[in-house]
Amino acid sequence: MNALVTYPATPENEKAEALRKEIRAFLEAELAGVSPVIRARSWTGYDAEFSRKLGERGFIGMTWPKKYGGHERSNAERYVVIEECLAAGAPVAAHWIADRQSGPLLLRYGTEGQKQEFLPRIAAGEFYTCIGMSEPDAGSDLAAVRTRAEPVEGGYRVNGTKLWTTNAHNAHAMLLFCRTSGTPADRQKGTSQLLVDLSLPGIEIRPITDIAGDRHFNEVTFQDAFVPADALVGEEGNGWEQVMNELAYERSGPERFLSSMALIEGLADLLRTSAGEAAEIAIGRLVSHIATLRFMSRGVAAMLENGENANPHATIVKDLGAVLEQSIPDVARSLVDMSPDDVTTRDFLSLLAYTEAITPAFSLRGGTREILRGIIARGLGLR
Amino acid sequence: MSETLDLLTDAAARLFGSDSEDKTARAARDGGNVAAIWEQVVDMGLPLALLSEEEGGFGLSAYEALQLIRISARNGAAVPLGETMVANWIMARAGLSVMEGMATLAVLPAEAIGEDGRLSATGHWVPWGRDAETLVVLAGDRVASLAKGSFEAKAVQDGNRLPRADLSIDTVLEDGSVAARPASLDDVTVRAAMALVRALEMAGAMAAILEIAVDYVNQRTQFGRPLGKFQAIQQQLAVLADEAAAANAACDLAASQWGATVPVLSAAVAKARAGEASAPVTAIAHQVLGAIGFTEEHRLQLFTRAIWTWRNEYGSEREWNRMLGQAAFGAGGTLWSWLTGPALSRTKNAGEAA
Ligand SMILES: Cc1cc2nc3c(=O)[nH]c(=O)nc-3n(C[C@H](O)[C@H](O)[C@H](O)COP(=O)(O)OP(=O)(O)OC[C@H]3O[C@@H](n4cnc5c(N)ncnc54)[C@H](O)[C@@H]3O)c2cc1C
Repeated sequence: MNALVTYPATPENEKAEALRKEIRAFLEAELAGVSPVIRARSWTGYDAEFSRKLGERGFIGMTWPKKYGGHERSNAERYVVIEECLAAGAPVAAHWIADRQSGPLLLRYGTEGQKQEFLPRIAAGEFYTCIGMSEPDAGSDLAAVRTRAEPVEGGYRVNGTKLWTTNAHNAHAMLLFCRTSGTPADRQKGTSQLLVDLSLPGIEIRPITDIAGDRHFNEVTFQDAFVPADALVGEEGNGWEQVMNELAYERSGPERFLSSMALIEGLADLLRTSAGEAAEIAIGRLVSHIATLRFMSRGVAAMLENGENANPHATIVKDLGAVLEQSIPDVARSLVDMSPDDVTTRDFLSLLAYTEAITPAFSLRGGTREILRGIIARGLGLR
Repeated sequence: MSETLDLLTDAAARLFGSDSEDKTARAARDGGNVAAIWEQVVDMGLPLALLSEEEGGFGLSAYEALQLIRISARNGAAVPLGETMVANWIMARAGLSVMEGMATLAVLPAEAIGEDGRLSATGHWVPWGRDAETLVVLAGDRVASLAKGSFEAKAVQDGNRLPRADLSIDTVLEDGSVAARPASLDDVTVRAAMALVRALEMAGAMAAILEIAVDYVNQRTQFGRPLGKFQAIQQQLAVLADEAAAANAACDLAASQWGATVPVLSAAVAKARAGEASAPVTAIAHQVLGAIGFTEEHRLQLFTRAIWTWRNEYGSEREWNRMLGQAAFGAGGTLWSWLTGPALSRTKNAGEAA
């Protein structure tokens, strides 16, 4: 069997299912009364108070060692918590990136000091990070980064601009991917990662309003910002390998097919009482897709648990998930008779309008559709 | 995955893949004989693979046994392995004796079997209906097994040339060949079991198609480079891989849930999702293979055309998606709580015995 097209079946996990009850009850209580339009913000909704509560209950850093504030749970258990948060549209943005990628990266490449200093605070839901990859001239072509950390006495002097940095305005630190030697012509060589304290002088954060009117991403400029030497994560010059691993963490989860659950639930509620044949078929089709993607995504979690390379498998889930999610507003439109002047469908229409406005991002952030398909093609041996 | 399965899958892949010129596959399409390959299928014990050891199987889990159907299709094998495995599974459940010969099955109306034990009915579009040694009939509250020759079978024209037959049956059922039908084997359940067989076959064929397409674009050169070096081609094949992966995963979800009963809802997911993947998978493969893929001679059509027939059998996307939609609306509560509930998500340990 072409290994690329098979995903392991994950056995039933009683502990994880018990945990599902717990997290569901918690989310129901915490999110009672939150409107679907707010829930539709899903993992871009920021609420530090909520993140701290999750941390208190042991729902962040779940798989990390206890000595770093983690809970030594399995990937299957973590998966349940993640998917329940996404499906409920919980405002998880504050800690999401740190839990998903910065923490695991520190765990893998960080110094003992970094692990002791940051991981417990991340797990407590108190320390937030952001992803410093994209720049004005480095989008899909990440190796084109120009931001430069010049080694100086006791640390680095950083100059450059990071762009589209989600949550930089709320985060304590940025995991900065930058050049520490050579020139942009050296591409992957001479790059490194620094965990930069965003309160340092010389760093300016300017919010950018997104298409839906929300402010979650930013432009971050560094002007002769001095960053101490102990901010270096991993090895100097090993940035490319590390950032590829960071992206693998970023792409491994079920975000991509679960961030429209609020809209899907809204649609099902609207259709439930008077569902005709067309609605049954359309909702059934969404079920067949989501059930399949869940199976695949849980398979990815199992592969990670076993230390296998799940990169192409995870990329396929993300690509399929984006295509599905982007189709949902149109599915809804084909089933529901609605008009802005009809007060009975107005709430649903505003939910639809919001989701529709953000759908373009589904195949951009975390790697564009074309980039993901390039990765899959590499998995097939074509590149 | 268990060691037995590894050994068995290797052996099955060798067996089904041994026919390098697809002679049997082509013979099956020309109404020819596939007995030689079936003998080897029997030697490996595959017809009884879905049964427990007490029933005559060799202790594979259902998840493992069902993989064999996919492997056969992936290697282009033209044999009624899925039909035979399911027919035997039904016979074992009904307490009838199981068979190693080729078998097929037909669900007929309740009135087909009269008070006097006479079975008279017509059966349409029965796969391998002319070739099978045994026909398992489910009608009303009975299960019966009929030997080849005790009914008439007329080949029907499948547009993609798979062996299908219309049957006319008028025979008195012999003692020992008829039994009470277990309540768990209702019409929908049996249809779902065969829908899963077809989905597994489609998924296996898609894996083969992906391989054929990748091999082809690596070797065919135009404009001075292999086609596979062109980004437009790479992006197309990525989509093919996406869809083939989804079809395979949907089948694995259902296969991993097969236990004492057929997992009807996840079988619906499998057939609907594999069916939906059929269009992009076959279209992309034919696009990248160009004119050579449009010939009778090239083996691509053995897989794509089989998919086009399988897609229509035992319920298309429309039928199974509708059932899923009805079940979702009927479940009450949120869609999410139903999706994560036992019907569509719990999977047994894949290595667990059936
Ligand atoms: C909501 C949102 C949040 C984000 N958050 C962050 C963040 O927190 N941190 C961060 O670092 N970045 C973030 N990004 C940036 C994101 O990673 C980039 O948008 C993405 O990498 C693409 O870069 P680009 O936008 O410059 O597009 P470009 O790279 O300029 O691409 C434009 C188009 O051209 C296509 N294209 C580019 N190169 C090729 C090629 N070789 N072959 C074929 N097609 C090609 C792309 O697929 C795309 O369709 C975010 C983006 C969004 C939309």
